[in-house]
Amino acid sequence: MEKVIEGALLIFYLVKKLKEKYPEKQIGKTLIQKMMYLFGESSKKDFEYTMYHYGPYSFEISEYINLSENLNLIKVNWVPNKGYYIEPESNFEINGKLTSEKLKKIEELIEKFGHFSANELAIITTALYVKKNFGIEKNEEIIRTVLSLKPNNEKDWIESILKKAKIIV
Amino acid sequence: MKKFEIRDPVYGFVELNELEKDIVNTPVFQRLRRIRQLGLTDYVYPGATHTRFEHSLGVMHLATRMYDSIVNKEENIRLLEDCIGYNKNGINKDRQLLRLAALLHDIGHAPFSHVSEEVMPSKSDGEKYKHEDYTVKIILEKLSDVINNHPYNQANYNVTAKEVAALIQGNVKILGPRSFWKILISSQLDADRCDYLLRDSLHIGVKYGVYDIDRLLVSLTLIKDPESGVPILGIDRGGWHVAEALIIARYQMFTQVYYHKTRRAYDYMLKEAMKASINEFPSPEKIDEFIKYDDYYVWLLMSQNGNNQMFERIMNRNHLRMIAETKENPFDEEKDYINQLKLKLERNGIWYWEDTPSKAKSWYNLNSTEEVKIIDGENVSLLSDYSVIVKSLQKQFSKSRIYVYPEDKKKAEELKREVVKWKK
Repeated sequence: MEKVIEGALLIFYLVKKLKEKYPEKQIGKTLIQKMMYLFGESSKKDFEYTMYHYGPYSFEISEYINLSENLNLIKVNWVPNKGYYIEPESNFEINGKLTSEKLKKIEELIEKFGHFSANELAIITTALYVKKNFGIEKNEEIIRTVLSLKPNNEKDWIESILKKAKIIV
Repeated sequence: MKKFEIRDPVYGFVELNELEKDIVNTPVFQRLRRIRQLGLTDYVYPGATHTRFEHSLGVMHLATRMYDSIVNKEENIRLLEDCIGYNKNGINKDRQLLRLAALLHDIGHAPFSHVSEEVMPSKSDGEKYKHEDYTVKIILEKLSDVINNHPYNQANYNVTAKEVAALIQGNVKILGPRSFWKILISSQLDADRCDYLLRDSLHIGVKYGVYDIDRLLVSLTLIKDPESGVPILGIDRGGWHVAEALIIARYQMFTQVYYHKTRRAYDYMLKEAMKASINEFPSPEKIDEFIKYDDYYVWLLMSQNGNNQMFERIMNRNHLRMIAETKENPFDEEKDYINQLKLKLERNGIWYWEDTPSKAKSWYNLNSTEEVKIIDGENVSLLSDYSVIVKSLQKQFSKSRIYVYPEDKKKAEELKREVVKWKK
């Protein structure tokens, strides 16, 4: 299967399962970007991410979101001053289109991280990215780096998010 | 403070200070004179012989104008202070930091620009090195001395090579909130894309990529992203028409220049010719070896390989021929037609190459576009809410093409006629 089609299907399945488990949650592009980063990390999938002040971002994932919308698998709405609200659009049958291993990975991901907000996921993925790419190992340094980008948040709160996500112990 | 001016075809003049002049004069920067911006695009558009050298100067110039436009608006500085705790005391130093990062953002490019991405070696985890990996290595190993010990820099800014590399990498460990300025070098509205649209258009001799850059600079502002709460680039409501023009320019340049049927054939052929002669480039760990490679050297290597058939074809302008293509948003019947044609070619032993937009990924990929945000007072909207043209351009660009060797074209055309074409 062409890589972009697989990417679009992964996005669809992620949105579908998130919506089933958390019907009231705002699923925006930021949230999808960060969840797919975590998916890439857990499944050793080679998505191309680069770091910004708002955390890791991938043009590749952006392409998959756009394709998923174009294939009418998801509906992307913009609510002024609130941002994107993304929903699954079709009753598309995913079975057989993606491997059961990938479907399971998505489900595990939602189980583990689905309850976090977009902002919390930005904190988690930033911590993971700096650990992996910039050689930061010590908990204190990870927290300090994340805090430098999120100065409006309390240090303790950031620490608790990273502990909940088991990024630090 | 001494200033130096370089004549530039897009902006008239690009101004350099003493530090920048000395960086430009280093061998690693001069190497960019020997790396074409658009590979072998001159086989289609003879004017496309411009290099990464002038583009790098242009990006520095434009990134600075963007920076000045943003920091001169008090509300933008307030937003940066509120959202990311940005300290405006470093505003002059950050301007210089941005200028150097913009100047050096492409310094690690391999020969023939993006064409050579597939000839990059792989890391231990299997992922291929990117030109950014080489860029960081060159800045840290080859330019540290000129940057860190330059008297003009020491007296005025104290920008370090480590910080310049960190801005390109988005290394938040080193820069913290100052990494924000990376968005002027790499984002949907960055100086890189804004420069190459104008510059490529000018050299190629087309008007597709031209838009009102002065209006864009005046309209550029910062917006608090409603979903994440972080500052991002946006456009004032009054400037939405120029944002629309930019999107149209990207679309037209992609469809009519970057994804031009013959240009794409030369990309493929050059990539194969390079693979046949050099296999892969040295890794960033062997940076002294890597920087020996420029367009001239790779051309020499390809010409010395007596058995490089793709290079022979390039020399004779005997390129692959397109025999079929779909529309930009093909019907299912068109896709079926392409699949049937491929099967027919395979069964008759005719080699083909299928090109799709995702294979042109390194170019400005239309399909990964994020929407430009428009701010009107307190309201943040999408450009497509204002522009019906932008809305209609949001459909996936999925044109695929089938190419064969020129000597097989006649036979392939005959086989094509045997495939039932779509009716719509």
